[in-house]
Amino acid sequence: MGLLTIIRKNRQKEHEMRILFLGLDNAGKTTILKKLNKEDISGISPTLGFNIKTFVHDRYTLNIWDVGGQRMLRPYWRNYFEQTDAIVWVVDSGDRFRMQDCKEELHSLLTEDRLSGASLLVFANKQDIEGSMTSEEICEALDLKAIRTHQWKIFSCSAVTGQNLLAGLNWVVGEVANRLYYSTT
Amino acid sequence: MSETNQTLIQQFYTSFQASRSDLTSRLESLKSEGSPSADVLNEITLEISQLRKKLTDAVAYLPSYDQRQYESHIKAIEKLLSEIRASSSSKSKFSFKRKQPVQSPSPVVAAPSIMPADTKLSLSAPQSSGRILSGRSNEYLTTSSLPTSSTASDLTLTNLDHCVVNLVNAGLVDVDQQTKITALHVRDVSNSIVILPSTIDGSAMFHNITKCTIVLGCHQFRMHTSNQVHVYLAISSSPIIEHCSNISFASYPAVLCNNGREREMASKASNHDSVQDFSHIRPTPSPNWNILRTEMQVKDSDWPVSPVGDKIENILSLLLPH
Repeated sequence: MGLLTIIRKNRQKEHEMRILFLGLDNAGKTTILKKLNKEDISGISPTLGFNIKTFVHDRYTLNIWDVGGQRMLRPYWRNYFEQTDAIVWVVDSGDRFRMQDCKEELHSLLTEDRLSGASLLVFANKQDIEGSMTSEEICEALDLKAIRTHQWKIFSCSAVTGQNLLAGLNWVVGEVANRLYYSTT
Repeated sequence: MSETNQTLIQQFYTSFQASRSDLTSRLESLKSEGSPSADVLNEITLEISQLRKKLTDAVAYLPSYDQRQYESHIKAIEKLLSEIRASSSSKSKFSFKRKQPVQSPSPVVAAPSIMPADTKLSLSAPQSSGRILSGRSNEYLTTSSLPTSSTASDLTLTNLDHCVVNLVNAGLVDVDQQTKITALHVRDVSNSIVILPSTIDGSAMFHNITKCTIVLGCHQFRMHTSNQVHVYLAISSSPIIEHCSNISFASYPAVLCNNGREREMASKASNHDSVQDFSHIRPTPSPNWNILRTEMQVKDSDWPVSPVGDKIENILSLLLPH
């Protein structure tokens, strides 16, 4: 390993971000992640436990943690909170019955001290399904406007078509970059 | 540093749990004996406040989630104590007074299951603009029961009781167009047979299903808080059950397929037998589901694929899980 490699590696390490994907089960967290990483999305099983993906986006190395959203797994979310730079909250836009549940989980998540300061990206997923709620309706249903503790933004998207996934990721990475690496950029 | 914290957290946990169970058991026994002396109660009050002080001292190293847990435990103990106080101070003979906790949950539970369509509308979030079948009982429902105006591709079935829902409509020309489903939500359905195509192009969510037979093919299958259900399933990922009991799985019956694509989806290698039970994350097999034995399965000729008229009750009693 030459000096240059070492410097590059160090440089890259500096530009690491830790992003946590959370949301109720059936929201499409794993599917979004696989789509972003250009993997096959047809045979995804519901997540028992978690997945980790690392990939480079812009000049940043993203460590993405995708944790299962089944009710039984939600108490374990807190094990992943440490040093999180950004939260990506994924919502199934077609699941009108559980919007209340979704809202409660999100707001209780945001009271967590270890997540204070983390940027929040809300993905209103499954927009490819006709009859889904729009991002405005979801913004209302989740009472996002009440969030004062975190920088947040909502993007409508579709994991199946890939629509808007990159736009959302760009926003959250830019947001974290401004906060963490302001001096170096 | 973190290691010492770990030990401290562990120690705190042990000592807290010990005092908590001690206090709770003493309070419980006082409660059943009735009319405790003021001295005993004062002593317990003192111990609770000592416990609270310990918790306050430990705040420095306890994770906030744990703090909240401990806090709620202490609150519960205090509540128990104040209940006993209240009952012992009043002169009347000891009796259990718990009006609120018993009454408040019951309307919440009862409302969705008893009240049909219109109350449900106000209860749940904005209704889907998509295709929805809701609040029916003792009916045979087909694609013609669905609102025709909607172009939505999601399907919602809620509040059905003693129904046969058959959306694999034999004989229709543009079957795919009519019944294209990309998301399925099923909620509060009981004593019903639900037959759906093997070609659902998305995920399926089932919630609160009781004593039903369900047939479908989909990408992902999740079932929550359900009981006594037979599922005939064509699926490429692992089905999930959570808070369920008595669920049996079988493969999608080929006889219900109407075209090549449906047959193809139904006959593909299926994972209906590799169910994951999220309420039983252990190496031992889950007691909550099993494979439906062939002799227990509905016979090919018995599927109610055409309207059954007023024989619906007979058919249900014959085909539903016993």
